Amino acid sequence: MKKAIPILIAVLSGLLVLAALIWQPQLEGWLEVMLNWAVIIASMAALVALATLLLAHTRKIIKVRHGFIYSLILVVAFLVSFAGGMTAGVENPNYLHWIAAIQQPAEASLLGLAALVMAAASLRLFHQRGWSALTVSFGISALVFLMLGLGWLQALQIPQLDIVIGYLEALPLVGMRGLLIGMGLGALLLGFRIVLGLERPYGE
Amino acid sequence: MPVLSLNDLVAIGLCVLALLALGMNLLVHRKHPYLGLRKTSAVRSSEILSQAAAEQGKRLTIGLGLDVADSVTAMASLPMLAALTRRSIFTDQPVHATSGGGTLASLSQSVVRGTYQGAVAPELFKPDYALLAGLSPYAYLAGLLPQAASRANAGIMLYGPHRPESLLAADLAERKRNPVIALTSDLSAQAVLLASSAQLSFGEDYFDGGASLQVNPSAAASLRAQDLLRIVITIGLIAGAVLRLLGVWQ
Repeated sequence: MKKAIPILIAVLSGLLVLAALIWQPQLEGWLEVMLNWAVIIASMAALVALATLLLAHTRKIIKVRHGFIYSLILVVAFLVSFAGGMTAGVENPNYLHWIAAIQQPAEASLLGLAALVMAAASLRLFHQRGWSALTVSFGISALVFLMLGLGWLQALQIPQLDIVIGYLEALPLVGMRGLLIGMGLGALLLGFRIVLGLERPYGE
Repeated sequence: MPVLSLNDLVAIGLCVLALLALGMNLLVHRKHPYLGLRKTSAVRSSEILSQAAAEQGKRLTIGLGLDVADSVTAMASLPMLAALTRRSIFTDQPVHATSGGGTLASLSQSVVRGTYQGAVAPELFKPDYALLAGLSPYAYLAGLLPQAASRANAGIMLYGPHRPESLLAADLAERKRNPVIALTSDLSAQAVLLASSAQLSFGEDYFDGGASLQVNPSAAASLRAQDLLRIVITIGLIAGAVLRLLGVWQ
């Protein structure tokens, strides 16, 4: 019985969402209520996950384990931002400015680092994966789209060349669509397995 | 009853076909569900890595990616997490999972705890085995990087909806001479990770985890149904293109 209840809830919710796609006007109200429940449950799950994270790091600090200083920074940063949000309010412009002033430079530096690592990894590609159809086509397509992205060929304004460029620019979309069809099929069947209770990603 | 467009009818037809193919494969292959099934190279590598980690007394770290609210495909990694956790329960260092969202972190915690209970060893479970790394994509990346650099790692596995910036984690693990396995549902991340030395799987192979590890017969039936549907869609696309070329279908 303990195992059957989550399966039953998952199956009924899945079926209701599927039915609401076809009989939208009739089931719209029910769907809205259910989506509100989902938002509340997701927020609760985020709180539980956050509490578990804090407990894990607090234990690390208490036991003075290797790297406990980072755990200390995490817990202090969490407590300061939590206290700030609770006292000033999460919509307070000063609070938002303060958070953004820390978050945005950190994210921008990570993005810059990621760009550098991507460029270095592209240069190492042939060394790491050797010469194969995949790596050669990867290299050629990177060069071709770099050229197209620079816009020099388009600036020549040759009608026949523009037609070829149009075809070339459509190629990634075609490839992407092919991959997306495969991914869509996988997601569809995974969804069916969850709705039918054949797959239980929410626990054993 | 609303009026359905041609697109709606095609979508409903595909859903019905998918259900029929799934049911048929479950019935036909019920005795030997995994017989003759192809195995994804990245999943095969994860099995080898899991064994190597046990032999070395080290752990396997799994990055589960961003939250289920961002992408439902995050669910696909949980059966794999359960399977790899089950294999590592009684080793020196069990599998560690990190998630990029509250729902996924709670689900992974529930899956790992359930696996320990299923193995009649709930006392061995620690909440640290499935933790939240961050609530935003960059916070997740910042949480994943120290995990990827840990000396306790035998290798890392990126399985879930990762963004291209995850290359940083893959690169860091490579610098520590740890093997990286990547299965991601994000197409840009797949392209970017190709530039790393990660053992990579493309496209729909992302959903093959449960079938390749032989943990769920329905996953095997789903994989066979996927192959069948792909053939049907390919025939449909070619027929549509030919009909349009011939001017039969405008």
